[in-house]
Amino acid sequence: MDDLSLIGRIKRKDQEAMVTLHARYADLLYSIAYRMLNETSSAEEVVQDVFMKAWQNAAQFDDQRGPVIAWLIGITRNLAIDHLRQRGRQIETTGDRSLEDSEEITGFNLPDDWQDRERVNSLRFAVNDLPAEQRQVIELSYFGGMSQSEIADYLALPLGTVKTRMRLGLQKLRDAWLKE
Amino acid sequence: MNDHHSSSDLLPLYALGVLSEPERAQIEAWLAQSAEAREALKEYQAMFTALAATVPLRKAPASLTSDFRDRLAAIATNAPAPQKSGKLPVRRLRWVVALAALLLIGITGIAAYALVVAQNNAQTLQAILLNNKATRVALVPQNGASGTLTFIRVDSNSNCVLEGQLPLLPSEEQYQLWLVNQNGERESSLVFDGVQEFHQWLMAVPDVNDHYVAVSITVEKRGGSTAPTSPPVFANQLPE
Repeated sequence: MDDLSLIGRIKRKDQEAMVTLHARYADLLYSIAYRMLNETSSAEEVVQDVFMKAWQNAAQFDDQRGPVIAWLIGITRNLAIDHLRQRGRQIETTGDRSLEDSEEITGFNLPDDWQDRERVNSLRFAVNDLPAEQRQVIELSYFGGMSQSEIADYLALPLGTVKTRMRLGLQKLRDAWLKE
Repeated sequence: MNDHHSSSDLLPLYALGVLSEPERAQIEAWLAQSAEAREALKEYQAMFTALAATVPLRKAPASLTSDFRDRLAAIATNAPAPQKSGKLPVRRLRWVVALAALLLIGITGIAAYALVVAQNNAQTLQAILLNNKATRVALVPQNGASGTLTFIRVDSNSNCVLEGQLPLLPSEEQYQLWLVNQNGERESSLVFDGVQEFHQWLMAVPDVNDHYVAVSITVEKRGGSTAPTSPPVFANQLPE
């Protein structure tokens, strides 16, 4: 059953449909939450809160605004950023952490009907190809919810430098994105 | 740097939700005027969704889905969420049993009282609905709200009824119904949750001697507010 059909059932308070949606995207949302929070218990808490919010607010989901996966990812990012702000913690950037810590799994469960699923890999390569300083500011903004001023303070850099790095990095990502 | 250039730079940051209030207002003004900007925003939003999917993959704990299933089931039955528990020592268990027995007696008494109250409420509600002098007013959705509601009142009756269906809200919010008197003062009559299915709420009229001219419903923090804090989601005038 596709995501929209599941949401249709969830709007009618079908618990099994909600559990199916949970099983389908728990890994993805957990990975995102863990990437942002670097803590298993916090990531678990965020994932459960995301799906509970989805259960409570399914009636307000509008597929004209985007696919279900985008909706869930948006909620995950927002809740994880709330966690970060409450605890006064800063996000780690990929330069800070060992990638050996991750338990890689294969076959990430992206929906077949998500029109952008083929572009995810291209975007991953584009991110990896960014100069480290551009990747860092984008990660602090995206995964940390930090404004450019907050990033400048955090990195002890002039605001103009942060803006330039952000602009150049986002331009490269957008070019790679639009090329696909 | 002209406005368009700086707005273009700010657009992806707007999609990320990390702009200051003035910057956000600048972008929203631009978006309102420019279809090109709106298209560009959609592309950024799609790109950032995909960016999330580029994170290193981790397997969620195996129990997460089954735990979530239990949470949903607990909500459905209004039962407390299942807790992990260990075994109790026998003598403590006797006290627990005795306390449980006392609670059971108390709960039975309260349940019996609640049943009587519920039966009285049902009768009162039916009396209003079946009264051929009852006034029925369809409440008009406002500000993009959805749902169907009718307000039903019998003059000089100390109760009135709201019936219909309206969307669920986040757990920290509830709907609040206000009756507006001739002085324009809003008096709270009901605080309630949204429902997926047709429902009827019985509520007391704040002042049975007051002549109310309008009814409105707002979204408030859970438990209600002393005055409306947001624009109405449903409203209508009441007949004279």
